[in-house]
Amino acid sequence: MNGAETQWANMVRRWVALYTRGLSVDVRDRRFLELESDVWEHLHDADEPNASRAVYGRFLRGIPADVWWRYHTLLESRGARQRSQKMTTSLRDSWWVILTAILGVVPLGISLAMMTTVSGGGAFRWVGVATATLSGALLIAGLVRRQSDLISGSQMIVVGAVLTLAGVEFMPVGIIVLVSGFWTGNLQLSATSDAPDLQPVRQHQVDMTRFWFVWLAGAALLFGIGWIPLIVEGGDLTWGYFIWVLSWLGAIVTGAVGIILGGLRLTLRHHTRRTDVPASQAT
Amino acid sequence: MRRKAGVILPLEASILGTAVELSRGGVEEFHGFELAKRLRDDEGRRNLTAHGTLYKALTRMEKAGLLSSVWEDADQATGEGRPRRRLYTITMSGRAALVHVEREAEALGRFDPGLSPS
Repeated sequence: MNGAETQWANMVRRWVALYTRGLSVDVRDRRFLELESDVWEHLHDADEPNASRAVYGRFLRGIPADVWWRYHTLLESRGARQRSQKMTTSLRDSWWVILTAILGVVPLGISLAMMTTVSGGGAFRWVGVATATLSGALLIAGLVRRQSDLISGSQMIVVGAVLTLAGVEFMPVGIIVLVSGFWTGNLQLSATSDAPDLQPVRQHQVDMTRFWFVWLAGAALLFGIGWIPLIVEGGDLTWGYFIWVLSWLGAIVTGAVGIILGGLRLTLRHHTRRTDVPASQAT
Repeated sequence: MRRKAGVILPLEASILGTAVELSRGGVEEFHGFELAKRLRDDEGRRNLTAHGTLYKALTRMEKAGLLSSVWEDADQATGEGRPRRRLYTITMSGRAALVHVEREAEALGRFDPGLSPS
């Protein structure tokens, strides 16, 4: 390929990456690989005297159709996701989500609020300990059954942990965001691609997800343990503060690891796409 | 605006027609660029169908069951030093839809003198 051809091919690639952003991996990969093949065939077609210009024309003229296609694909996937959520949030399948919400977020938030307004918090301390333990156990039980959306879940965990560290006023909100981050991590299911050349990337994804679960389980455990010395009457406050700070750091590290793994996953996919093109066509 | 289910657009009818022509010539499977070239040559157009228009139509037709597709064997593509192709085949529903479209066009031509070619 000469300079102009490479330029147009890269422009098509960038455009495909842009208008398929946010769509499912299968849809995105299929469109990307199909366009990659089409542009290559076009640029190497002996009957096309000015192929790079023709590729540019096809790319420009197709933009309205691409935008329209993206709009409809998003609508369809949203409909499918709603149907899927309706199925997965049925009482039978996701009882743990409902229980965690009831046992974990609401009374824990109330008990924390009471601790800051009423002297010592009274019986609400025990409500906090009990609900934190129960909701933590339920979250871990639920998480091991599902796959995760690393990046969004991790980002929420980081934001939640930072909010809770920012001050007592932000703590209830921070905990809700943090726990929601744990949930978000398991809402998305991945589908099997019919493109065999993408399978190595899927393998990496699975490994990374498992790795993240280990971090997540550790942080959730630390998160639960960190509260006990602070809430239990007569607990060692120095040790309690140490574990408490450690638990938030654990949450932040978990989130950061998730974000790094998610980024790495995207880079690997991109790398696999590039290496899938034979060396003779590499641009 | 969303179009009615079962309606075949002119481009889709052309794709079905080209697929049947290729099939008659012994070519059962075709890829996107090959199809774009055939469409241009058959219809005497200057330009190839735009990327967005072509692949949007192919995806829609596959969803409607008019076409089916598979990825080409990786070894073959590697052997020829090019990216893998997505290979399309016309289905029985696709053939039936084309027959239906042709009949409708004939009927319209019979009743509307303005549309009759002869």
